[in-house]
Amino acid sequence: MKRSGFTLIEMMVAMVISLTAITSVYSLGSAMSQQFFEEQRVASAQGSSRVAVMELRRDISRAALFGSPNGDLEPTCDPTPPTLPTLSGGNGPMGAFQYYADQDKAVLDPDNVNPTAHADRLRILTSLYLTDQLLVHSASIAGDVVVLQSGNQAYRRTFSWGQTAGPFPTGTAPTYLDGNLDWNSAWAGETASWNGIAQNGARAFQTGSVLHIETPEGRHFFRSVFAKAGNTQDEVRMEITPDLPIGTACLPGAAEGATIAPLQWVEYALVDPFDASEVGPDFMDFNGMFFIDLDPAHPSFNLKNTTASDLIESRTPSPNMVLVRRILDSTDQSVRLNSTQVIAEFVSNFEVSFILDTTSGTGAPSLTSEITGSSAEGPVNGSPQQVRSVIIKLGVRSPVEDPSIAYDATMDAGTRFEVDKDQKGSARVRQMRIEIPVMNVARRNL
Amino acid sequence: MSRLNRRRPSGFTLVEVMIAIGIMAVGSLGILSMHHAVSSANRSTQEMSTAIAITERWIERVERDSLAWSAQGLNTSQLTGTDYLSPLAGTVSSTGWFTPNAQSPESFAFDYFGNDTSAAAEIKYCTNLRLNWLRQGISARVDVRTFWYRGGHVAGNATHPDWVAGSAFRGAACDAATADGWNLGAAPNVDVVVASTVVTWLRRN
Repeated sequence: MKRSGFTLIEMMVAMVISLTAITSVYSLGSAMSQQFFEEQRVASAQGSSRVAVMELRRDISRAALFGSPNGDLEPTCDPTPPTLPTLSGGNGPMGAFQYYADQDKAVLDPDNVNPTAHADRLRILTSLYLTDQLLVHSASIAGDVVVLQSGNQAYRRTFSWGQTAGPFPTGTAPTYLDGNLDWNSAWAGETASWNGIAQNGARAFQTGSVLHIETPEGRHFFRSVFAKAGNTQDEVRMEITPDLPIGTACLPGAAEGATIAPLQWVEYALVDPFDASEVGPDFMDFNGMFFIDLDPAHPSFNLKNTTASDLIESRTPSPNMVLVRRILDSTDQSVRLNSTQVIAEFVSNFEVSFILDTTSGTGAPSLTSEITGSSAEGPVNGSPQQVRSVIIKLGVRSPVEDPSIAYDATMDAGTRFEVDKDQKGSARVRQMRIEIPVMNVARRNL
Repeated sequence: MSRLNRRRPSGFTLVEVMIAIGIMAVGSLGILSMHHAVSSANRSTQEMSTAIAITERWIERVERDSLAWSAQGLNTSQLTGTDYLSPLAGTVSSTGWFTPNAQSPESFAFDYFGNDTSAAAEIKYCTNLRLNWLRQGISARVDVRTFWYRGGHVAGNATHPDWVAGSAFRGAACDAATADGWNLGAAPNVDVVVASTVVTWLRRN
């Protein structure tokens, strides 16, 4: 009697067929998940480069807002034009831009395996904190102290006392820098307790800022703030350098009614966040920075909010090179305390190019084509008023390398980036390019 | 009856197996087409964001170009020095769409990554300009359009009647008249991004 059931042959055939089916489903699934992770990497690189580009665009398009020191149009009446320190030592003209080609290449690519990558450094003299110009009450006879006029709206907006908790209880109006506010200690303790206390003013008029002073006669003076000159509770005094030529034909009277606008000197640079010689201790003290944790014990490739103690990095140098934005002191180019911000992480390329109007002044306009690298340093640093367009190429790579994709040195920096030459892998790169016309520079420097 | 039943060998017939395989094939084809739809949607998104970036870049190029427009007026002499605004000279209202006369490294054509290119084989995105006087001799509106052959286009869907093949698109490249013939925006496998800005002349001292 025949028994029901499968024969060995049937079983074998069925198993082979189902094995084939399972294998194909599995490979389909793994291909889909691979693609999913690849898309995630691209999306995260795309997202972070977009944020960085927004920041860059904002700063660059505000360059020379409220004044460009070496403008050809604006009569300065200064015996010696104002200057800014340069990286190579000495001074250069105080203008809207300073540019250094591949200054941070050794940081970005210590093994020198990514020939097409660039690591430029860009400095911008720009208006950051205020959209107001303030008024000068008077300047001292020696021309070394400027006192601001209080009681106008711009002054109130700038020096308002920050509210710690809103909405305001009934009957409590916002208070300004008059009455019982301890302005001196607010300013003196700006590193610890400026948060909320006249913060616009404290930031805008910090030591090392540049002041653009325009007299009622239409003359322009650019001066560095270098100290607070005995502020009282309702009077803001600033010590400036060099002295204003008070009482001369250039500046009759005591500069009453002159407008004054604070400018900040911003630097974009590529740094290794774990190298204490490149970032100050305040960088790691910053609570709540965003970063991607590469700690082998607790790997996390998501952006997360953390404290400095979470930043464990065993590899030296760190594979994570960050683009920072920081504010420099205009007198000695030191980095302002607590001013360093991370703009983008895992940067693979930061290249800045310029288009200049070489006949800036009164001649017929003549725009150059795009210049970059060492041949752009001279023209840009020597004549920053000629810059008409700043072109940024920013590459952001994925935090992890894919070892199955070998790095090809001939490939464009826009697609792949090798992080560690011993690892034989290559990371996915998202490249962005923006071209920012600098209208404010052009308007002041024709 | 029961004896007959017992004698019949158990198992599937060929027909049953064929039907089962057929159903499985249809099912897995569904999964595969979903995969295809997702990846072409991804590609469409990537193309769209690249095209937006290109369009924005051209807007900024034209704005930069306007910094070299140094005297008000309708004639060639006033617009000398501008690269992209010069077609406005002598025009009364609008230039119509045209391909900007870009000098290397700038170009009206872009490759897969959104980089400027002038090599015909690399062209994927094309940019055209249209200039319109707002106030003659003083200010102008600039329209920028970027169009491309959709790599993310789902095969088998309708195509535009004037459509040539994707490769021929690259050859015809960025010719504005041809693009108008395609009736951009209505063509299912050509996408277009349009943006505008206003430029004005800048007094030179």
